[in-house]
Amino acid sequence: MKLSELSGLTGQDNYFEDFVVGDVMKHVRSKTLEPLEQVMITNLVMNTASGHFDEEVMKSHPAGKRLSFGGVNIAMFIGMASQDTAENAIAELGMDRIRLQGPVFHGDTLTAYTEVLEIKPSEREDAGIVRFKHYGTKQDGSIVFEGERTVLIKRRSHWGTR
Amino acid sequence: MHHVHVGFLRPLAPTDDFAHSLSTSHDKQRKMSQDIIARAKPREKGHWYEDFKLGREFVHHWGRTISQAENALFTTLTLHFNPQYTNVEVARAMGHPDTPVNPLMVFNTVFGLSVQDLSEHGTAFLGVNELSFAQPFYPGDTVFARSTVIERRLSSSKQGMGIVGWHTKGFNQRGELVCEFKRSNLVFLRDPGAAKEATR
Repeated sequence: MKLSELSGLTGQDNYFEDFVVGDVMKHVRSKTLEPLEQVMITNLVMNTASGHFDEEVMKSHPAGKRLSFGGVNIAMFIGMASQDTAENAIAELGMDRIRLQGPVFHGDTLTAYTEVLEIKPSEREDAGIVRFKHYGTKQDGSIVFEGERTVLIKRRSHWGTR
Repeated sequence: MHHVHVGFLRPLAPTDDFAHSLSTSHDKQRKMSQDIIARAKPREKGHWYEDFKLGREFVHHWGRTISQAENALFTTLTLHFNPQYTNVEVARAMGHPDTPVNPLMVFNTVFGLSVQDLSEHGTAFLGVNELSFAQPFYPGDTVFARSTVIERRLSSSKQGMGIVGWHTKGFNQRGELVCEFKRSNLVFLRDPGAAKEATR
């Protein structure tokens, strides 16, 4: 593949130059959590806590049924935000202040929102650093996730025509 | 020639017995041996609040080699649309030798490997601070995890539980750091009656 084809594979509205501090976005695709991803990923990553995959053992727990694994929920919210905030990312640098509030169950529908907290140059001239704050909600409007995320994103000036 | 009469090799003719077994009500089904149940010792896993002395280190079990199939599965199921994880030509054009494994999968795997030692007897996973990715992780690489206890206190609102914090690190097969984070969980006390003595 030639570099000249790269920019045609991703969006044109999510380069480093496009992010403005204070902007807030709703990511338009929500997702209903299935055991498909919840249990599969929990097991794929070898999380051994059976409260995520044994319905019977959870009958005596206050929740009464399997709880989804927060690690997957975090990944799902970041995933839902990714086309708008990572499609032109060079690297995920990290996350901070991740808070999980309230239980999430199979069958809940998740929606992600993002606020741009900070933009700054990086050591690379072809990319800049954006710090986002992500919010995750359930179908009843309750907030179940918050977290900050720092991403190294391509500059259009260097990558936009490649 | 031997005529083997192992159960599952018997012809499954629709005999009266067989038909009966299909219609047998639930309470007439064979029950598990009560003697075996009585003698079976639960092979308990994990640790409890009392085990988490400040500074204690855990080298977590198993390690995990991650394949590109798993990376693609994780990335697509979580709707993570950065093509460098699912298109090797894009990854190469961006300077990688292969598609990097989605960092959130690396994080989830390091977390997963730590669960038996840290939070198998936990409930609420409260949060993560200072998650950072030190370098790309590629298909075929193997991740190992270890953790240190950095915080412990009894819960003021939930009796019989404490809050424990750990600093967890993931390393590749060369021993290089790939990911680290701090997380905290509500963890059950082994002996809630001794809660007053279980001080830091």
